[in-house]
Amino acid sequence: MSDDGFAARAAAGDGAAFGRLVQQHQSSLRGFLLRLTRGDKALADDLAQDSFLEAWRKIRQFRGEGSFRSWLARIAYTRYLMAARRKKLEIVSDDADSAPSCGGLEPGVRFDLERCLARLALGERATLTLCYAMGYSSEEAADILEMPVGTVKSHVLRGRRKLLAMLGDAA
Amino acid sequence: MNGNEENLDRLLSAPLAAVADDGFSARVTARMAAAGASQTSFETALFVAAAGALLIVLSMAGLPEWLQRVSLSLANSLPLAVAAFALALTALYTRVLAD
Repeated sequence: MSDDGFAARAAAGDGAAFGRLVQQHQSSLRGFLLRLTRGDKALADDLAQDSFLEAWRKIRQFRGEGSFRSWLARIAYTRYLMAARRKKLEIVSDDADSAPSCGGLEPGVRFDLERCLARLALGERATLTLCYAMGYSSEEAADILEMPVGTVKSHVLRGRRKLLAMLGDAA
Repeated sequence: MNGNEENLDRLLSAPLAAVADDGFSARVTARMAAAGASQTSFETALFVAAAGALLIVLSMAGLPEWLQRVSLSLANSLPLAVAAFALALTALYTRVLAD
């Protein structure tokens, strides 16, 4: 059965159907939140749980216009923004231009992508993760992050440029 | 596109590392059930409180006397008696048809 089918059954009150959706999407959602939280596993898991619970409460609002996965990612991103505001998570330096290198791509030197991504601003981390690792289009990412498509594209460009600079430093 | 760019795109495009469930889904399901139960208890308590408050207000506003008056007027109402008789006949006829 497709996500939409499980979501329709969950909307009719079938908790087991929603449980299947949780099982299917927990890995990608927790992975996305791990990127947003810069690898804070406990916080990422808390936010993922809260996101699923919010999705369960609001499942009747899911109309199936987009995918369940992107609807869930939007809830998770909003949850992260709220937590970041509360815990002041994004105040930590977002200026990656002056950051030390994260390793290189030469044989024997490991480029630590996660460490480098953690140095990027939230918008850059989120758009690079959605558009590259999770395979969303710029339009879908814009919908999830509730920002204009042009902003998504500029975040991607800026993020890539910063990562390349880190690579360049490492080379 | 130079080599660094290609390598970076390749790294960025790699799927996110799989995160083992390790009881995560079960914890979410348990919280769903707990949230549902507390919601039901809250709604029941709210209903009981509202019904109690309504009864108190109505009894203070002369509810018993009003009920007595209405019951008497209904019992003495010819149109209501005719309607009840018609209803009983209809039910009886339906039952006979069903048999």
